[in-house]
Amino acid sequence: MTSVVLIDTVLLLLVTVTAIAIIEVRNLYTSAMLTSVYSLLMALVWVNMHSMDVAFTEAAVGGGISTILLIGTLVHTAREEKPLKVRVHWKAAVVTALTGAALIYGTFDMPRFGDPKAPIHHFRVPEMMAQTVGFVNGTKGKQAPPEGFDARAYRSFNGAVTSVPDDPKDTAWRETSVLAQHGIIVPEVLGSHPQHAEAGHHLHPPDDFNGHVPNSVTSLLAAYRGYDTMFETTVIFTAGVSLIMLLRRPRREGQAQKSAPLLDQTILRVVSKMSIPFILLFGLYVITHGELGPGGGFQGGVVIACAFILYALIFGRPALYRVLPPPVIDMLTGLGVLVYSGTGAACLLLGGKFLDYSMLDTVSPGEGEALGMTLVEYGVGITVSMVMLNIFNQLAEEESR
Amino acid sequence: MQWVYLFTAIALLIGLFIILIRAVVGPTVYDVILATNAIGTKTIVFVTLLGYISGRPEFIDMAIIYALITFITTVAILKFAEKGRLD
Repeated sequence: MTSVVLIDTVLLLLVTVTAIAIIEVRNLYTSAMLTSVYSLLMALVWVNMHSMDVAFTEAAVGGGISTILLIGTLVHTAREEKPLKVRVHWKAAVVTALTGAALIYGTFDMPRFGDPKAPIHHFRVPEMMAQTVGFVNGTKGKQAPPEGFDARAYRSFNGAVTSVPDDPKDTAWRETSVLAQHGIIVPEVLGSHPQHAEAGHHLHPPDDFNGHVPNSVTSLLAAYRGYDTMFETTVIFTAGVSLIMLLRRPRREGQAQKSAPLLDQTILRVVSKMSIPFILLFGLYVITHGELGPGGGFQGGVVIACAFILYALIFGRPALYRVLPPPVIDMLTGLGVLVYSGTGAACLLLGGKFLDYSMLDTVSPGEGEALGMTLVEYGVGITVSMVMLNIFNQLAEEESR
Repeated sequence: MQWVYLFTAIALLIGLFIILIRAVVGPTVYDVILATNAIGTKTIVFVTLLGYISGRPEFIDMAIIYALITFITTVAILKFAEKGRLD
């Protein structure tokens, strides 16, 4: 048992304890806070497995915005859950248990965590790991360049975690790998050799993204399954529109907006006002940096929404409406989806397929891909942040009861 | 280095566990608020540690996000406790 697995087990145990507590606690206020704890612990699980993009999303969405929105719903409901008579619905319990068992059975077919023989490790990832764009002096971290290094060096090379030792005698999977079918020989150490990149992408200029951006997650999300991400953004947009239709009340003329700003809290007011520009800057960094490191439109959008929510919390919602009037928020909600699909349409007009970003740059396809992904991430970021802000505004608005 | 990570992580996890007991049992709401905040801090330390051990400086981005998010969440939670509304 490696330390990764050991820490994972303990963390998942803590997550389970928190989940049971969320269900058992009668006080909904406590329950909302425990969901934040749950997300933080779950994000630690992802960090421990080195899946930074997932951890980023879990922290930003689960730990931040969803907790704030849950507390927003508490404004409209009671603080205590009504005690229910506990009666087990056997049919429902059986269906749930069967579904869970089927899902767990399905995981047995998946490759083990950190297995170097998993398809992803000898298809796309070696190509991406062989790239040098975005790293200082062409090396990743403090490791030496990949010349004549052994399997152990490879493992620490990119911080990759392996649970199964690499067996040099087991060559069958190397021959059947997708790279081998394209005439590229997978070396002893799984293909993180620079020759790899040259063999696969000899058509691109040497300082190119080698056809793909360095962050494999963003490359998969925005290019490989770009349609999927586009419709995810559309789903968020639809959710925002539905919530506006459900919750928004027409405001009567001359009726003043009620609000309870925290202007008397001097420390909180000064610290928040000073930190809001930096939070916005960080959100933009997360969006823009998506194709180089962990991050992207969804996470960055949530961070930006959090900055505006902090402003509304301290200075009141009317102050937020002076900065961002509700019609502007509504308009920006749609603009994000328009930017995404517009990028796709631009690729179409330039002679490629829909969302084929390499068309955006005539010289270097890799640069075009990076440009397209940045545009798309901005689209996602705008929609996500404005939908979150809209939901917060609708929830915070106290009904006249 | 693997052992350093393991032992420091275990120490942090024990701390997390103790705080989690306070968050679940905590008689008043304020115990839960403080525990949530402390868990956020522990998480930041954990992420930074892992980033240092595995030599990946981009983990610091994660830690910054945690710090920002827990701050804003705590402000929202405390505002609801004091005013009973969020805006």
